[in-house]
This record gives sequence, structure tokens and C-alpha cells, in this order.
Amino acid sequence: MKSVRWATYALAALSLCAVGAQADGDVAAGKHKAYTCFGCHGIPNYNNVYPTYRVPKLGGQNAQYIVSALQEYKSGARPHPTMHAQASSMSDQDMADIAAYLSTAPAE
Amino acid sequence: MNLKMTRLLAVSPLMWVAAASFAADTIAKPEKVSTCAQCHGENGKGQQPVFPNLGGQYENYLLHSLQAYKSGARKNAIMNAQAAALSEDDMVQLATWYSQQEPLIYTPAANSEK
Repeated sequence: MKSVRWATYALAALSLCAVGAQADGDVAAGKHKAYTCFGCHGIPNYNNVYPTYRVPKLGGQNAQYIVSALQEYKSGARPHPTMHAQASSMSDQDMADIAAYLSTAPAE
Repeated sequence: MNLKMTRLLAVSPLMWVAAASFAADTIAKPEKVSTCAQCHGENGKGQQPVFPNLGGQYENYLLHSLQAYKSGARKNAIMNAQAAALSEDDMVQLATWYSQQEPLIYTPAANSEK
């Protein structure tokens, strides 16, 4: 049983390292890199064309969530042709920077 | 009575109707919110940085997300399992609930000096 407990600790420690290894976002760089995002996410009530729903609000959203969403668009775990195209061209650093900016961006 | 006052009085019943219909759209807290709340908070505040804030998000975006989790189009182990247990009516109610909470998120400004 002891080994199970240690394995749990090791896993916990590893997951902390994984979080630590995530790139730190640079807000200033993110503002520049987020320019394209505003074409849709900077317009209140902007509609996705098909199916029709409003493009989500991202200002004040949790940065880590934005990064995970971008990674999922890149990998295809989240299907969306436009977002897949956008995220595919982003590095991990780009995603972290964009997320850092959007999570703290001023409101429209 | 001047013209301005007359106009105001003419318009005010319409405003009451508008206010009443808005109030009618707000819903009672759906029972299933308690499950969502473990990660997203009852009012839509993500309880961990990796969980999204939902309070004030667009209703039809939230509904689309839940439907995509249920169909499996959007892959996420936790959310696929959660959405599988929801009916269309549950999803509509939950999307409505979270969209009506105090907004934690907003449209970011494209042209700011910040």
C-alpha cells in the first residue's frame, strides 16, 4: 500500500511540474498576437455563421482555459475550421501570450 | 403639458412591458446546476484556472458547447460524461442559467491603450 501512496505523490508532483512547465504568458506580446482574434471576438454579439451561435466572450476568461481551448482546436479535439486554422499557426508561447492578454484585456 | 412629457408618458407603459418580459425570461435555478457548480461555481466562476468562467457567457454558445460535448464532436473526458446525462431541456436550462449570472467575462476591446 505504501508504494501506491508514493506513486500517488509522484504523480501529483509530476502534474505540478507539468503546470510549472507551461509557458508564462506575456501580456504585451499577447496584445500584438491577439490582433486577429478581435475580428470576431472583439465584436459584441458577433455570430458564428453555421451553426448560428454567438462567438464567445473571452475578456476576463481564465488564461489556462484559453490555452487548453487553443490546444484542443489545434489538435482537432475541438472541431471548428476557422479556429483550427488559427490555432495551427500558434506556438505554445503564442497561446500563452494571447491567453495572458485576453484574460486581462479591458472591456469593449 | 409639453411635448417631451407627453412623449415620456406615452413611452413609459412600453418600458414596463419590456421590463416585465425580461423578468419573465429569468429562470429558477435548475437542479442540475449543483453538479456543474463543482467546477464552474453556481454563478459561473471557474473553480480552477483550467475551468472556464461561464457567468454572463452567451446563452446560445453555452448551449452549442453542451450539445457538442453530448454528441462527442467536442472531446473532453469530463464534459462528454456530464453532457451525456443531460436532456435537451436540461441543456437549455443550464445555458440560460449561466448566461444570466453576473458577467465575469466580456467582449475585450480591440483598440485600447492598455
